Amino acid sequence: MNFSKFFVNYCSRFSSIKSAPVCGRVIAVKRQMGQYSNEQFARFKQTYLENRKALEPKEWCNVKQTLKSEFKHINDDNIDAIIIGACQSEQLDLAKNYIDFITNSGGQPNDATLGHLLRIYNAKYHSNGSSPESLSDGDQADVLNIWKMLTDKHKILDSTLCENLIAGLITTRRWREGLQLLDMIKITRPPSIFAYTEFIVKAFSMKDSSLGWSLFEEMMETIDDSRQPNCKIFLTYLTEVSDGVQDTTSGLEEMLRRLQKYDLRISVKVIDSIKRLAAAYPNLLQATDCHINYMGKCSKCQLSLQAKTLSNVDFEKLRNSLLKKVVVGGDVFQKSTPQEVNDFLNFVDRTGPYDCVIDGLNVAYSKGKKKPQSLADMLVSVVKHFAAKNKHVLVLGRKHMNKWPKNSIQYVKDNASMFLTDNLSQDDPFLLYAALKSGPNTDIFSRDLMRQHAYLLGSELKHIFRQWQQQHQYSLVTKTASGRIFIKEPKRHLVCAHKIQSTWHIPYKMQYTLHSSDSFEIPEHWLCLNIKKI
Amino acid sequence: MFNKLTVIKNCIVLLPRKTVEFKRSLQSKSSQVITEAACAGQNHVENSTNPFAANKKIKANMVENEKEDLECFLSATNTDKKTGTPAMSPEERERRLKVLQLEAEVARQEGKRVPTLHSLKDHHWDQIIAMPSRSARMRLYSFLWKNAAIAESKKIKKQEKAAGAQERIEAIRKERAENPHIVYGLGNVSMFLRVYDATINHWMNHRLIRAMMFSPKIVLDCSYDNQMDRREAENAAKQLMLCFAENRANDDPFDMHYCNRHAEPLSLAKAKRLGLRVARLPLDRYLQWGAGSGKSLTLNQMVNILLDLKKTGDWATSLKHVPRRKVIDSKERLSSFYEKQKNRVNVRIDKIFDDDNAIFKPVNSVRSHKKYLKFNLSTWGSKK
Repeated sequence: MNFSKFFVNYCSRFSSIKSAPVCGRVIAVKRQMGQYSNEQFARFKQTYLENRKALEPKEWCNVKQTLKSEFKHINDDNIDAIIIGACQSEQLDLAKNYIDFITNSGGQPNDATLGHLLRIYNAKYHSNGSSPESLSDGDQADVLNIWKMLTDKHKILDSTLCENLIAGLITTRRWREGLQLLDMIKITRPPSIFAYTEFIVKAFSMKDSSLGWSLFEEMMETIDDSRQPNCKIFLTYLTEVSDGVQDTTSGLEEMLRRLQKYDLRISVKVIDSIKRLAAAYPNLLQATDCHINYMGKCSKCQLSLQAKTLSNVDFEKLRNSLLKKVVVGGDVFQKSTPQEVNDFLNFVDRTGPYDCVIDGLNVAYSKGKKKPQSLADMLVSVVKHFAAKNKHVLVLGRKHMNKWPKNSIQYVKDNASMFLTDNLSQDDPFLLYAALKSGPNTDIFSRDLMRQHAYLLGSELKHIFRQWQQQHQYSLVTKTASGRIFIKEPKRHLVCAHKIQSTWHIPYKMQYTLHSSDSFEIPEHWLCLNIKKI
Repeated sequence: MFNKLTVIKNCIVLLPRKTVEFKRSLQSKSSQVITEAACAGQNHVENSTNPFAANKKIKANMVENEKEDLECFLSATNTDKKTGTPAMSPEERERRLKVLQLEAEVARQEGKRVPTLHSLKDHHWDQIIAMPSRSARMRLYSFLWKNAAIAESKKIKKQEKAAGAQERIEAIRKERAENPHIVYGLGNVSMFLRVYDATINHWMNHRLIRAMMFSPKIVLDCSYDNQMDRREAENAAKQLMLCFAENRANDDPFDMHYCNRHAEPLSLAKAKRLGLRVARLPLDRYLQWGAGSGKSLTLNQMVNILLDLKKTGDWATSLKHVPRRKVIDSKERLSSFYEKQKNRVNVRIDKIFDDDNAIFKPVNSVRSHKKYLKFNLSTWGSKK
């Protein structure tokens, strides 16, 4: 566990692969929650519950005994909920049978048990087609009964119960009343993606697209930045749009605009659905797969993807707040000293503007070698690359670099401007400042993802910063033994779904993933969608 | 014991390095703990070549031609107080308490590791209400449940043991009554004088009194109360206690002061501002640092290192106090090396068994070319 943490830190500093600290943490938390060994429990389920519709009371007693003896943490209080939780989604009858057993033995199913029961109702509803008639009237009445019972018992419900209730209410006709449950969840924590998704899908299928989209936007604002919404949402929406009830093109544009706003990558299933929609309305829509070359040109319509996205206003905003928030932060001594900041500002005024600003230490350590000679060589090769193109560069480093091999350092000093900070100072903020001061066309050279600096800028500027970063950050891939270096150039065009004139270009991926990748790669698959103006 | 520290002169100050995302104060980061020039050449304080002597409070030099917009930034200090919980009215608190209790109860009914409601006391609830997220709460519950489960099993074991206790006592009594010989042993007849705890305490305290007069001082900055959460504060308190104990138990203790309680903390940023000399332990030079866990040392580890340094002047012996799990030693590297090898396809087996022919180069410290250079204590640390 310790090694993986180190590995993660190493990766995030030097590469653009999104590391998996989130996944690791989720697993660790789950283990703490007391999720019993899954194989053991799976075996138990298979032996006693699989394919059964009902058990005799004697058999239920036996099951309870076995569970309590085999699993240390199972006791009388939690066994009911666990058993209901063990019922598969199609075993609604089995679950009901167990509830009857409880009531016949003189007890009452507790809150958690009812919650799990609602989930089974929900699963049945979805497996029956997710329409208002998917559950029988009796079942729907049961659900509403449970709802009444729980709300009578507790004035404010906790988040788990709320989510289970939402799962249940979706199956009934009174699903709208469940919206207040979302507010109740917010008292203790942000609602989960599941809760939002259920509502959104229901809203779309009930043809209430404005509610659906407003909930969608709320969801995207509250959930963790990198998580992607479920494809179900878009698929349901597209089905409704293609029913011809709504104005097809404007409805489609609504969805595409959201994709752009939140930088979402949809999966191939949604793309197929869009293609089907286009096939149904050939005079309005034209959808074809296309390929975007490295210059940003579409192979189908020959349009170039939108290049300059950072407006002057945005750039100015970014530049002004960088000095205040990132270089100085709350206390200038955190990252540097006033003397040094001053010296640096003067230095930049004197020797700027630059074409590229290089993070000397980041580049030097890219290959993982530790000898000063190899470190200096990496730096020299990068400077050489730019010098060959007659570019004016700034190299940032720390004072200990003066102890590196003399001729390498001399080469760098001859072919570039060099500024060395104190060994105790952080050099990244200087890097960003120099680059932004030199103008909107200056690039930076570093493999650092700069997440902490993005965070310090605040949520509004973070987005702008990320855009700027994507378009201006070079990174060193590797250096071969022969001395040749491979550089990853920044992508000068947008990689989210966007519109040029009347054509949308939509990137997609072949499989749905829960987290978006953090790298700045051009997506492989694009859809070129032409929407004719009526 | 808790004096407000106004002037820092002629003493070693232990303080953590403050970073922007400042969270763990006394425990983390205290390895690259900034100490005032190391134990001044193992001498006591009266030495005239005392490097501390020149350490007066230096005002940070403000250059005259400073840019205007910088001035306001530079004069701002980062107090970095943790945002206190917004004040809640009693009704709101009551409501929140009820919801959280329900949350705990439902989680428990689902089979999660949550202790029963009646084992959660008021002070627990105070902590729980203030917690920011559900997962933090669930982690606390899991911790409490585990403690309760351990206590439970201990109780059961004790009861089982107590069952046979009566007979065992009887058996021993009988044996003693029957035995006509003298019983030798520590509690009975023995040649060793019994030394009571009080005697040892008096002796150690006397050493401390002597240290107060003659030994270098160590100052521990205790003002990080508002930056620590409960667990960090508990750890810090434990370490402070251990610091005192281990210092007292040493042959040649420091004169230890705790200070700055409820005052503004001293941090790297402030030290830089005041122009104090700062230094780090030369961990990389003497130890092969293991991956993970970071180079953080606890307060008592630091004190032990400094004590040994004072005594022997030798980094290698004093850095023995760094816990072994942080340092990778050759055996661990060897086993991890074999782990990697076993998955490779083309591995020459004969070389593996040949111990002399080292397949992997022996652990070279990072700057091995400097190994034989003398480590100069007086130039250790930053320049003023």
